[in-house]
Amino acid sequence: MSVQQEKFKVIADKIREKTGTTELIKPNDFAEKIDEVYDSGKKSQYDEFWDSFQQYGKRTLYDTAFCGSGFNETTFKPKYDIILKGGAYMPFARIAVKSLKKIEEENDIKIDFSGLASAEYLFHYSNIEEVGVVDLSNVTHPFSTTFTQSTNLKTIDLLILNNNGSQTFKTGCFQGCKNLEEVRIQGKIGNNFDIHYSSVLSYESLMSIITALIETQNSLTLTIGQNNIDKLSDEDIAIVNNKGWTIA
Amino acid sequence: MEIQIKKVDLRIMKADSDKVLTNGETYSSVGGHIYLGTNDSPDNWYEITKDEYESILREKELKLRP
Repeated sequence: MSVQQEKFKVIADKIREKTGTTELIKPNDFAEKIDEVYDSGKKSQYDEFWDSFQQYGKRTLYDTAFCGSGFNETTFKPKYDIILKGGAYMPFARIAVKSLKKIEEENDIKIDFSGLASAEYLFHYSNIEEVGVVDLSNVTHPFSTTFTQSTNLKTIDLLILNNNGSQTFKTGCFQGCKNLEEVRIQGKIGNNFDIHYSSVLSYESLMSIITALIETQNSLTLTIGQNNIDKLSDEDIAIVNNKGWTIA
Repeated sequence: MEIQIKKVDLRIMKADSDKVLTNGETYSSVGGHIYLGTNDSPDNWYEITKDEYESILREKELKLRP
């Protein structure tokens, strides 16, 4: 073997080591293979970070895990499903990502909220514009700061509550969500519900909320604000009132 | 073919233009209307000024900070 051939073999061996292959590599292919080495390095770093950060998919406690503007569309590329359990505190607060739905689709993962017992500061001050399915049916702690100051939030595809209406909502839950237009509710609302900060809710969103209201012998209040009240017909309002709810 | 005429009875309370209706827990818009539920009573509601309302909102907002 000539000196040049030996040197080529050293280079080819190094490429095979870094890319994890055993294939024959010709010198004419070195330039292309260098790109594969770079990509392989990137993948290796990606795996190293997310395997550790998500504990190989076993992580369930995500307190402040994705809190802050450092997590954006470029950096937030989870490898495993994000399974939230217990009382995750501020997991997506202040996150710069615009769409959690797109993150799920692009990374082929699911964000599972159904194990949460508390949703405090869940999306507090986030930059999010749309979320997909947010299953909060097992939350027992009052919703007081769940979407607070998510001022860019436009769409909640589906907010899942429990089916007995026992969950409580404080005024702050949707405080500042001034751009929220579309929200669909599955489950029941059985305590005072205040979403008046979201003055541009669509009629369909209002009807979804109204449909979720339980019938009550008590006196409960649905606070949606005058802009939203003006979108309802007298018949719509009568439906709410006859369920035992005052509209404010 | 049949034509039905429906009447819907609503109990509406309207705040003065610079006032807010409240039952101590929930609030109308400034100068807004509330539509009373079947189990609610006008006696449960009273007016506060816009300034009082905004002060209450500010206090609530401060409590929301982590």
